[in-house]
Amino acid sequence: MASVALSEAEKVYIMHGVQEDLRVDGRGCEDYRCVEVETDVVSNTSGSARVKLGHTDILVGVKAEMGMPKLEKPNEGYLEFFVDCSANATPEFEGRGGDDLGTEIANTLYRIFNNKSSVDLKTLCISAREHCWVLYVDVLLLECDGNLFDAISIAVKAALFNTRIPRVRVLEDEEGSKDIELSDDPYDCIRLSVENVPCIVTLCKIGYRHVVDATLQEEACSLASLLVSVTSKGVVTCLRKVGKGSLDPESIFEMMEVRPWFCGWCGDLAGTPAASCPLGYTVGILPIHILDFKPGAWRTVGLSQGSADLTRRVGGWRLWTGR
Amino acid sequence: MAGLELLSDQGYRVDGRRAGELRKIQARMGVFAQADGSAYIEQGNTKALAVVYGPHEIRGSRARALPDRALVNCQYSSATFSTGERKRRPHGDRKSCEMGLQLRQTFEAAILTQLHPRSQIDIYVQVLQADGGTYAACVNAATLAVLDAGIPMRDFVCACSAGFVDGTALADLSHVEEAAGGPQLALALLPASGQIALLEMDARLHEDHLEQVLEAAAQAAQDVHILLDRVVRQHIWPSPDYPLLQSGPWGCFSPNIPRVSWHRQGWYAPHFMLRTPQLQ
Repeated sequence: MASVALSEAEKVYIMHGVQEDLRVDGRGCEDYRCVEVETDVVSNTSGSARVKLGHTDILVGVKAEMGMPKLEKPNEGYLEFFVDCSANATPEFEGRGGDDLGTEIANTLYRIFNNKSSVDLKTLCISAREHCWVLYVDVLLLECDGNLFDAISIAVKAALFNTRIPRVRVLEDEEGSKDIELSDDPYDCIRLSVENVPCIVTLCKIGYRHVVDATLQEEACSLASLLVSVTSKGVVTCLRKVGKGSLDPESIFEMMEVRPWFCGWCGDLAGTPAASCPLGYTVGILPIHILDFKPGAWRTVGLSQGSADLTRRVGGWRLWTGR
Repeated sequence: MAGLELLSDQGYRVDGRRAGELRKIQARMGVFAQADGSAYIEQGNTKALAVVYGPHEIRGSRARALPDRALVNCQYSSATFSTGERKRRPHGDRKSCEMGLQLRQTFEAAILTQLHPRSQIDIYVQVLQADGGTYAACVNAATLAVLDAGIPMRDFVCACSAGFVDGTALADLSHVEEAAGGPQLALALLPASGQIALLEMDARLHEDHLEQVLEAAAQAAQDVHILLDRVVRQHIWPSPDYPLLQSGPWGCFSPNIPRVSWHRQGWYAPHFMLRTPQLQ
């Protein structure tokens, strides 16, 4: 994992601050940094997204290709994940240096999508046992400033939302051989429903408290973290403890308390008018809007420079962790 | 691609350009805060990102340190979704290794390595979208990134590709033109002196035509130099002649386009056009 060397004094400073609910950049323990999401950035792909969470920069491209369905699930397509930790993030990732981290993240993604409800795989089937769509989700890590899993899960969700799979028809010949025909209209495509795609929330334990969205320096101070993958309906699809320290059972339940009211918000948001948030999930605090459904149209508005800008651009969508 | 006319009778190419015309180039420096130097360039549909770390101490074995100059280390990586067909491995395959070596050769000729003995300069290039001319885009992006990092160089390194179709030399080939199988020349130039840092050609070309193709590539590289020069000046020193770049509303990846008023658009008009939102 990309890490930064901190002196003891800096670690103590961060830990004392966290005890007082005050982090180095002025956030509270349960505040996220500003998130910027942009879709349709790479035109060669079926769908793509770029997410900037502070200085963490992730680019995801989804390519849809035709393949054979798996033997145990003949009526479904499937997703394949690949994570490339590029040397742009840190020189340690040059050559094969980033492979370990990449495999770990890819395995986590497989686990969180390994259930029936996340993505409706039946829509990816063309003809049972013969053809199906395989979605290759490729994650490219450009810059790393902590909290990789959260950013990657947002980016994957946005990229899947942006994915446009061409509609195909299977034509049967007299001899029984099948032909696959692509529709002529380039805008005639299937979109995936990403309402149930989970997002990951990483809770790092620093001292006796836990923080959400840790930067690289804060990750260096924390001994253990809990990764919770949760959908907007509050369904947990994966739970994992990472790190070399150990966690108290009570603290795990305490950390999970943070989760329910993130999901409670989504319920609130769903009722309000401007909130047709197709992502269906607000990551932490800041909602992410994808403003239009037309292919290749608007990108999302960047929530870049802090709250004032945010209010102007997104029209007042700024929620803080109200308790 | 049988039947695809690369150069029409009126002299237009597949995408509507003339024979010696470059694709639209947009570039931006300083895209990443954590790296020492970074740059992003778009040449038509080819998008490349370059990041520079250094000069810093040699990582790994100290035995590789050179006593009188710096070690330049390059890695070329292209994203798995960058090409039409999905690539299996972003880097580590033969083509990427070869490109890395070529980049290294190019930059060792340009960077003043004697100023930093026993140290290492890392240049990492990432291709996000490949539509022909990837080597040229990488070299141009890496030049800007090295300048952003403040590493002294003899001169800019500007690169461009060239081909030959129907008796005419074409500059800045797109993927369609490269895939057609004609001769392709990649040239990296130090523009002030006209010195060639790297020259590479694939496929057969009669020697009578070589000079024509070489000249087309050199002229295109000089044109690229004018654009890169402008980008660097705007980044470092905004002035009325080179107005301050304003951030666009469409996210950070789209490079900042200078908001030049229409009467200043003179010679640079074909390359720096005001960008309209991409609504389709």
